[in-house]
Amino acid sequence: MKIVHYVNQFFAGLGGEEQAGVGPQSRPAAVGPGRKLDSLLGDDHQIVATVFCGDDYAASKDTAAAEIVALIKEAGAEMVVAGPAFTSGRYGIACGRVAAAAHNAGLSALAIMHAENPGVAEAAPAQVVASGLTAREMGKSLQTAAEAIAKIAAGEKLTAADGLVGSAPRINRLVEKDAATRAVDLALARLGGDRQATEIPMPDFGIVHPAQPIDDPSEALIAILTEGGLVPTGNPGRLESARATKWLRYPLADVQELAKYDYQSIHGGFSTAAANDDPHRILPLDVARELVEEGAIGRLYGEYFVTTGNGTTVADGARYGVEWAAELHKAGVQAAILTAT
Amino acid sequence: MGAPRVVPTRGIPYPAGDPTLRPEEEKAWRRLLLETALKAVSTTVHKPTVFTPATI
Repeated sequence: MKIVHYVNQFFAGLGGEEQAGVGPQSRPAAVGPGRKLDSLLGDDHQIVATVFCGDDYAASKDTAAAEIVALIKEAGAEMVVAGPAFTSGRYGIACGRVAAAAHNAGLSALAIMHAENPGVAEAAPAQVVASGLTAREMGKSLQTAAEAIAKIAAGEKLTAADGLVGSAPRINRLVEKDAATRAVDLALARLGGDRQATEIPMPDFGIVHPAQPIDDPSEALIAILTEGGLVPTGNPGRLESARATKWLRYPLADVQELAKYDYQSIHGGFSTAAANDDPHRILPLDVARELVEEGAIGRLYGEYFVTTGNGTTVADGARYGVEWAAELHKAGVQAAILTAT
Repeated sequence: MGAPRVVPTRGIPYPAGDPTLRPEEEKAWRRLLLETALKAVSTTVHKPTVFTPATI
């Protein structure tokens, strides 16, 4: 099968953010990660061309997907493979739209990105298989893609076992029992001790094992943290008001109190009037200082960490938690108090 | 979402405050929340556990 590979400006080797505005272009044969994908596909399938586009152009220009698909068709594609885009938002959205437009143009199409990439929702009716979180998992992600491509080429259906993500296609079929009967059957099974039976599996968020308690707060180094979007006024680190892609750290060592007008919450999920009127409503520094003064807290960690918990993916949130724990551990912090909005 | 130690507070926009209180009352409430949190991190738990602050 003749495959055209779609990648962004970075994976095409053009450059980073400074090249994000470039329009769609085409190169013969495989480029960048496409070379590895091409070798994984063996002799049966071949990447005949690579089409690429800057992330800004691809994700923000209405006509981008159509322009990209025109280049893909020009290159003689029977199938389009877009990505892997990992958790990159604009790249994922571009891959999703390109796959959808290619599918609608009568080509076979597959996008590759992390299950929580917002681009997954853009890809339907084309299919998406899951990549890892970051380019560190490129090898494994390309392997998943190569196996999915071989299956599609053979006319087989992809399933969750192949890494298929996104909304499951709904296939109508007749079952013996009606919904009311099945619901009562499931309720009876639950009452009978069956905790597994379901028609709609819920996402699994895993288990967080509680840390050991500290012996004595009056001898401990304690950190205060928040996901309430509290930043110095003007938001110098440009923390997002929703779907945060990062966390930031700001000094507390020489800060006695969080003065009104020196700090603001940029959280986009609630009215920040109360927080801006008194930033201690988000980060309780004033009373933490009192408790240090009185000896109830040993010492207060000299920075606070902040992100915005508003539409942030579980995967990103879990990553920030891991990074925060590692940083605090390294600094000898024994307990952390995180305010959640 | 499985946070092991949780102190419930009074509203999403002000997890460490309560703007309906007078300033000195609000600070006392914030202090009570932090004291409750200190109790929580000093207590062994085996699953997500709620530590309710004594109301003032």
